[in-house]
Amino acid sequence: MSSPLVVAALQLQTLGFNPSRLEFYFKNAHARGAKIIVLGEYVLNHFFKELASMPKSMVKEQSDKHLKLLKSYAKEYDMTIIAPIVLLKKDGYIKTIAKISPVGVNYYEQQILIPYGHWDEQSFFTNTIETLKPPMIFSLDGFKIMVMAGYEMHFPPFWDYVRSKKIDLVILPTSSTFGSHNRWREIIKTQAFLYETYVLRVNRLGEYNDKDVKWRFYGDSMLVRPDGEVEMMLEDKESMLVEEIDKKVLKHHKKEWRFEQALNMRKELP
Amino acid sequence: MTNESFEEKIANAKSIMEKLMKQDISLEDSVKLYEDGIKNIQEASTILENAKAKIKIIEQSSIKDDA
Repeated sequence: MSSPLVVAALQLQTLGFNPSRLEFYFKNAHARGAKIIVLGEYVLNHFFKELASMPKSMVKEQSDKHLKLLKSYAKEYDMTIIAPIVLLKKDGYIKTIAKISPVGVNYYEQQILIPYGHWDEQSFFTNTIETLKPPMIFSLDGFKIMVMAGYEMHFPPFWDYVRSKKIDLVILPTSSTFGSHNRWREIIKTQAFLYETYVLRVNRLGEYNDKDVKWRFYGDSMLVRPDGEVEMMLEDKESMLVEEIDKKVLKHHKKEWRFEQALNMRKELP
Repeated sequence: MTNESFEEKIANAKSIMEKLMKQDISLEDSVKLYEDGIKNIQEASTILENAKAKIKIIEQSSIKDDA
């Protein structure tokens, strides 16, 4: 059986043009044995409502500059980096999550975006609305890992994929704000338990002032175990979580509860 | 375009980049600085292109004189 995998979550606010603090954390995570490090949504770029007030060339330059730096860190520290990033394409902005490894970069284009009046990513970004495609999945040191965009956590097809592909760790970068702490905690803990997987949720920090309303992104980044318990949670300050995930824990949970086994003995609902 | 030299415009752009790297800068200020920085670089680039064109003309006229 594989050795435990050390994972890191970096809880930060938007970096703007200055990514200098990343080096400190990457070095530290590497020294603690982390093989994968995750950033929250809108850390490399400003919040999407702020992007509207910025020249497109400035947004592109920020993304390019940060990507270049992260590629160099992935090589230097032999780590896989998961980082949401906004790309500028011919038709407009695309909301993606980049997987930056020492050998290259892959992008997951978020499939379901927030469509609400006060928070309308669906209209702002040009991500296509089409039949759902498989999410980003990869293996690292014997662990199967799936990347899920924060809002996509609400949709069962992604979780069905977690079960069918026997995912060991779901990586969930988010930009949660207002008073949603408990809702997110409870959903993540429940899904981890039901779908027999670890979940690493990484939420951003910082504020966005929308006329009279202050949007405060509250952190609460956490690693949740397959038994639905929180292994470690950050509070609302800039900080980093470094923890192990273990195949033995996954195996024990699956053996104990046998959800997958019960389903496999029966046909699916018509 | 202002009357500043190529060197002054490059120095302005560098100084703007340093300001942009500050952690506590507001988005509004950073957008303004970015636009000023781009303007300085574009103007410096124009000065450089004009200088290149002048050198080319001088070179061509000296080739004609030698012929």
